[in-house]
Amino acid sequence: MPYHSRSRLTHGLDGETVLPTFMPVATQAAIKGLTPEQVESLGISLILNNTYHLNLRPGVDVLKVAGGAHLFEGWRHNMLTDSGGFQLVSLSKFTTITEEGAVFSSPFNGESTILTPEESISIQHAIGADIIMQLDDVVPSLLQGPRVEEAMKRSIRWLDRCIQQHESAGRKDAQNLFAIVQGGLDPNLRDKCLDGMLERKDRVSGYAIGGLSGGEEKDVFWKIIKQCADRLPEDRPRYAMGIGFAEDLLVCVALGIDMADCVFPTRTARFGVALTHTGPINLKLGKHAKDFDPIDSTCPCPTCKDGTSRALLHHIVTHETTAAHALTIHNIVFQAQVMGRAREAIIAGTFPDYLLSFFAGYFGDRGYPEWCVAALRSVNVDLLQNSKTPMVPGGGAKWEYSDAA
Amino acid sequence: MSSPSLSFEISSSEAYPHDSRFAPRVAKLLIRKVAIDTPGLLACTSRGVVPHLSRDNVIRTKGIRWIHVPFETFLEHKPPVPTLQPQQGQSPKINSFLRFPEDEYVLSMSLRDPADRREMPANTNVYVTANCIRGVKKVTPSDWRSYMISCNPDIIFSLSDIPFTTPPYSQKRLTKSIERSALWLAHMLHSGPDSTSTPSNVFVQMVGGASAPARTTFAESLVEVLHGKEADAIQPRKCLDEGVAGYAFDMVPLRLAIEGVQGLSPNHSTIVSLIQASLLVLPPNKPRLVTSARGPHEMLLLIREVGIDLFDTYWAQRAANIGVALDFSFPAHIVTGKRDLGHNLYDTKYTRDFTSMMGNHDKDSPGICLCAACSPYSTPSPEILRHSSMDEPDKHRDSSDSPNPPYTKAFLHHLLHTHEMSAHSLLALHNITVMDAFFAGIRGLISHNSASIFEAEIRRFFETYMEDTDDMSRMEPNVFERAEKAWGEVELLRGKGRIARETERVKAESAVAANEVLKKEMEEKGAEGAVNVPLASNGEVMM
Repeated sequence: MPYHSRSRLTHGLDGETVLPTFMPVATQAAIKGLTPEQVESLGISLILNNTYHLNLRPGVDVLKVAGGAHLFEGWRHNMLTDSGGFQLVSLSKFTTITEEGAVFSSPFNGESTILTPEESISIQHAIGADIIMQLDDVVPSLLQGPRVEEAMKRSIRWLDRCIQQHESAGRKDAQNLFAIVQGGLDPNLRDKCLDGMLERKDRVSGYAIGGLSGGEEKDVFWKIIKQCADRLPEDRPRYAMGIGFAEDLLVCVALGIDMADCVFPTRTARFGVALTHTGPINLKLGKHAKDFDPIDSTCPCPTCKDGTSRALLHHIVTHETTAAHALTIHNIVFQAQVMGRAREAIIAGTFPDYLLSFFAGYFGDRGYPEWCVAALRSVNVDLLQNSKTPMVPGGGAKWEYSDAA
Repeated sequence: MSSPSLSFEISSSEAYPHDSRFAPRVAKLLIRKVAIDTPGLLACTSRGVVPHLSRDNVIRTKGIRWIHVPFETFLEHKPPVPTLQPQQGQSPKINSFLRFPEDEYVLSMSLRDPADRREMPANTNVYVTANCIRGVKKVTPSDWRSYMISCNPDIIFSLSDIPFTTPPYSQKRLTKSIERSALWLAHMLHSGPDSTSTPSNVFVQMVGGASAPARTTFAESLVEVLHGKEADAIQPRKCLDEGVAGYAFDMVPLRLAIEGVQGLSPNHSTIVSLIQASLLVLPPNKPRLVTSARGPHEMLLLIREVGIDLFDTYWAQRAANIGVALDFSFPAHIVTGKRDLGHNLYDTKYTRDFTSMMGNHDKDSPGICLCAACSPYSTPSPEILRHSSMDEPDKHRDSSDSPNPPYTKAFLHHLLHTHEMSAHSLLALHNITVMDAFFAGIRGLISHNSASIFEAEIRRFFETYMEDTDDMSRMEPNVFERAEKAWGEVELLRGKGRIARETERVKAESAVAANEVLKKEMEEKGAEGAVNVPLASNGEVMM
């Protein structure tokens, strides 16, 4: 089993983060709706901030005067910044990539700014996160053709420039730089990228697997994760970017991933959806209007422990920010529980049992997605053993529909 | 099941030792184990929750001890969902549903949201019109009584006929308002054989609009000894007032009514005399509650002129919604010049202001704000959630008991401009805490000082802080108006069509800027109409 036994991130950090873990996303210097005291009380020790957005607002100047993002936003524990690379894809209408960097042109007045690898690292230095990411040349997951290889090779060249900037600024020991493996969905390109980036192992603190979670077939997704995780060094954390569904997280952990981030749990909370160990609950639906039970009576989050009922949540969801906060708190704790139970099982040597029981609880009512069965079989966990639950094709992402439909 | 009765103990004060009907008074209102010191506050709710504050943040906001819940949003379902709440031990259903433990909070309910000023279809002899997301609903006195018996809040506002049609209201209309409200109060109080229980702790909203005689008539009908069938209906009480635990005055319909009569924004003395007209014949030893008061200036005057005991925090919560961090105290800060009641944190002057929301005040001023934004405390380590036995959140943490650094104006400014909800959470808990400290200051002053000192401090408060008024003669928008405008601009920057809007705005701004440059150039060249004529090297004009 490639999954890691107990490990911790400690070097150069604001306190300890135990692995494997899930990182909630605080895009604009805040987990939407929550204060750092609230997030900290939920047992979270590592969050993600977004370089592109922080560079825009409040801007590097303000962050420098403030003494960095930790002091600016009041987060006292670990922080990871992405490089701004993802915005190359998500805001791509306004972007052109050159060897020098990514050129964003303002949609409002056409002014252009360039984000170079050096600039990205400098901004991340000013933000002061404990873990910083290289600027990579990201292309949409489903893109095919020579652009994918070009982006992969450029990512290696940009890694070198990031390392150079990071070291010459004297920040090598203060902040941990991670590389990002690219190569799209092509195993050959991924291999080449791994070759290149592994050569730089001594100059990076960890490795991320990027370029996924963009709508690719799940069956392709897990194979790329496995391929990369099998080759990445044991003594470096492995970070799967943009992974947030519980089933995806646990498959990734089984394949050897330590960290993941995603906006999904917090975003879906704001849209009225609570995540549970048996699937998501859409509290906007009329079926919850008179349900006086909490989301999950075994959940330790403040929303559930306080006994907040689904009926009350139904009444306020999408109308009151208070509902967004209550559900965000719950979903963050749900994600932390999924990963926490994984850590516990890994320590106890019962991780395969945990996988079996989680997947049975989650998918028992409608069938295990084929890709999950295949992915876990590759690490000798057979979801179908001793189970009457069938296998079903497709991605398997669960949703709750109205009874009236 | 009826709620335990409320006790209201007025303490004798230094400042106002004699029993005067309208004198300011310090008191303690007690229901079950919850003690509310007055003058004090109640927090407004929306759809049953304190806006922007999740339960854990409500707990962090010590000033919230009384919450007021308008019932009307629950009319969406028939029967309303809170009435279906399963009984949990001895807790009233509404407390179980909304998760405010009854031994920690006072919970009051009215049918309508007292701050809602929208026009409504007329009430009739048999129903009141109320608003919910499915539109206007008609609520009869029987409906209201049964909802309240089922929900069982600590304090029930009796169903009253307050018109929200266009004022002014005729004599006839006011008469109906008075008669219906008294009748419906009797209906709420009756303990006839067909009723299972009688609600205790009924507050009555004092009707009569902008007519002092009408208001006095209504009050008289409360204390009038009833006879015959009317008396039987409310026995063992002899008059309606014996079943009334407190009096409520709603500023929104009162202001609307006064404006309807005078055509002007109401001034303080009109408001005061109308409230006094209601209280003239009523026992002075019952709590007096005002909804939607318009800020601390108005509250001070109502305390001094009428002896009001309780105010809801509508104004402070609304300030939080539009990005204003309140920054005032009573006694007032010692400062030079006059200042705003708070800070419009949208203003770019705060971009690098790393002071807390209460700002810097000199050493003679009252202490720092203890809210969870200005004095944030981390959860004690044993209470932090642990998701595996590997989690050790207390490793590497400061074990000191002192608060973390305050959230800064610069950070709040950033959150507001990036449309982050946490801005409003921090502002809401801060502003409510400022109000709580404000009332504590008032209580302290009345209890331990002479009336003349209280009066002097009120004057100094008025001299120190600019009142939030509708004053049309004001040339400049005040801090609240500026904030609301900025809030609107941030809203417009989002959503469908935002790129087109922003492009237009940027174009317009650069056109204005270009115009300014041109104007300056022309001024520098002297006369209007001066034109830049290209000259050849010999000085002749080139064509």
